[in-house]
Amino acid sequence: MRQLAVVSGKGGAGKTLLTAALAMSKEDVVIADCDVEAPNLHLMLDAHTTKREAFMGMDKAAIGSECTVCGRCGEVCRFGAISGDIPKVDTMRCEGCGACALVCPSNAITFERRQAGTLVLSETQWGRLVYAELKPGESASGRLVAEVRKRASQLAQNGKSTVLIDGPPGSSCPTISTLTGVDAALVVCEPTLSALSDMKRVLALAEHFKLECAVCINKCGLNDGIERAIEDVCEKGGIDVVGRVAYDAHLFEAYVHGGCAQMMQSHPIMDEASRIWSYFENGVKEM
Amino acid sequence: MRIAVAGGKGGCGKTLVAASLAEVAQGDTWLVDCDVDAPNAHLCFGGKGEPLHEVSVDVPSVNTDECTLCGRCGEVCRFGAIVPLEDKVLTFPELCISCGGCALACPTGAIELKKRAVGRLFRASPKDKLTVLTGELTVGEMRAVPVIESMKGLVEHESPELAILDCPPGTSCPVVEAIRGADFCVLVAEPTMGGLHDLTSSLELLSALDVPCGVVLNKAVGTHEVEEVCVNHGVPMLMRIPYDEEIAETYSTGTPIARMNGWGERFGKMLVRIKQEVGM
Repeated sequence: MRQLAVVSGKGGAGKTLLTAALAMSKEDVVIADCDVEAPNLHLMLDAHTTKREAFMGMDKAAIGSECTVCGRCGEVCRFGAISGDIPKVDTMRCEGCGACALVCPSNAITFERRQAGTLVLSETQWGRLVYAELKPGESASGRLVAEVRKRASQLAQNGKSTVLIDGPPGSSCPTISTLTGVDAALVVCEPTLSALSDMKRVLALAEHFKLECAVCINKCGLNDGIERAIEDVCEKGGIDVVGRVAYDAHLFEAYVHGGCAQMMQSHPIMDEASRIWSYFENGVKEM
Repeated sequence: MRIAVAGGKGGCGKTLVAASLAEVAQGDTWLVDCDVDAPNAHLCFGGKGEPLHEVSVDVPSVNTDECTLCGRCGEVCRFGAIVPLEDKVLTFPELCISCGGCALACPTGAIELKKRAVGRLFRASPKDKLTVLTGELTVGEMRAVPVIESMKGLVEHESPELAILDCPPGTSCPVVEAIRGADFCVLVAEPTMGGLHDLTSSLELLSALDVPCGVVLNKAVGTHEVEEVCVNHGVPMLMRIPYDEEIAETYSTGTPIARMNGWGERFGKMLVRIKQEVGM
């Protein structure tokens, strides 16, 4: 097992909680938090920053004084990023594609490098953690995820240590970037209609990428009917349910007030984490 | 009026709040589920309903008769979506952002932009005066923004009295697209360490978008640093929803909590408050 990703589809199902437990129950892991828009794992594991690096996003267009106000740039921009009687670039809308520069008759358009986020290297009691913070409004989510993964793999010396990846919610670009090339995925689900619906999407995504995966049900006891429905979907799809964590208000309170990692150390979730590692390490062939 | 319901942290309760506002709204209301790679709002109202149109994006198609293999398209594409080789041009449509740059750059007009489906819209009418619009990004597709744009276009065309936009989590481009143009944004926050951190990012985004906002504190337990953040940013606290197993169980079944005792009235009052904040 070189790289294990923890995903869910549904936000708030417990990816970060399960990732923390997995990190705490295995020696020699490098942890990657790929939820670059809302990273939380460093808070849960009480990480200490060792380095912060600027992450540069796509260049953004800038219109200079050579502009003859012909308006061609605004006509070709498909993102609504150029407007005004005197053309001006809305950098939040600009995708950095360069189409405007292609048609500018006076070479008035240049591209400026901009910092889109920050990559953070840190240490926790349970291993090194790489995470990132994408600046609000930026569009380079998938690329920043790829950068976090690349750095984590480098720290893991490309296979010597295991890379454990906390994924983002959803099933689009940032999740796809999280799953590409991993050995296996743990899909975390909670017994709600929303989480069941989103789990199906993520399982379909995992199948699309031909990834080995298994499911862990968090917050068991919240809704028995939906828990059975989750089990049915898994059974029909040939997916194993490899962990169950009971709904626990105390754990949530620790998540609010701090001390979550300490509480988890003597919590049944650690048994589930050990079982999950056993499953993936014994059951899944390394790629 | 257009109300966006957002909040950086996944699972903080955006759909819970959006669905409840839609449940109590009077007049012609659309609930627009912009979380297109994990749509859930329709689960609160009996399903997605009828399929509407596909959402398509433009991707390059190379006419090999006109192509001279000059390589210009590959030089201008910043996304690796079109790659000229020695004897042919490869395209990677899933990487294409549909900027049209390759077609503009091609000296022989060999590149045509053709439509490629990336998702679909669905429309349901669960009760009188309520429409639920769901957008679904096809599993495996990368970009949510085109589907959200299509949904917003339909809303502008149909022009309901009130549209409630259930936004995706996070703060990147799909969230920006969903919130942009809204009259007001309800930011849902949870009091966890992560939730506080994510609320601050969301407030930064809303300031950049110049959309007025208010906060709903969900799963409220213990002391609330979230309230201090609200005071510091000068945004109103619209509602506190307690951390309550009964609320969690009710919502797990897809029931909007506005149907629980007393909550309908509270969400109704929140709508009135929002209208006052917006001056409508």
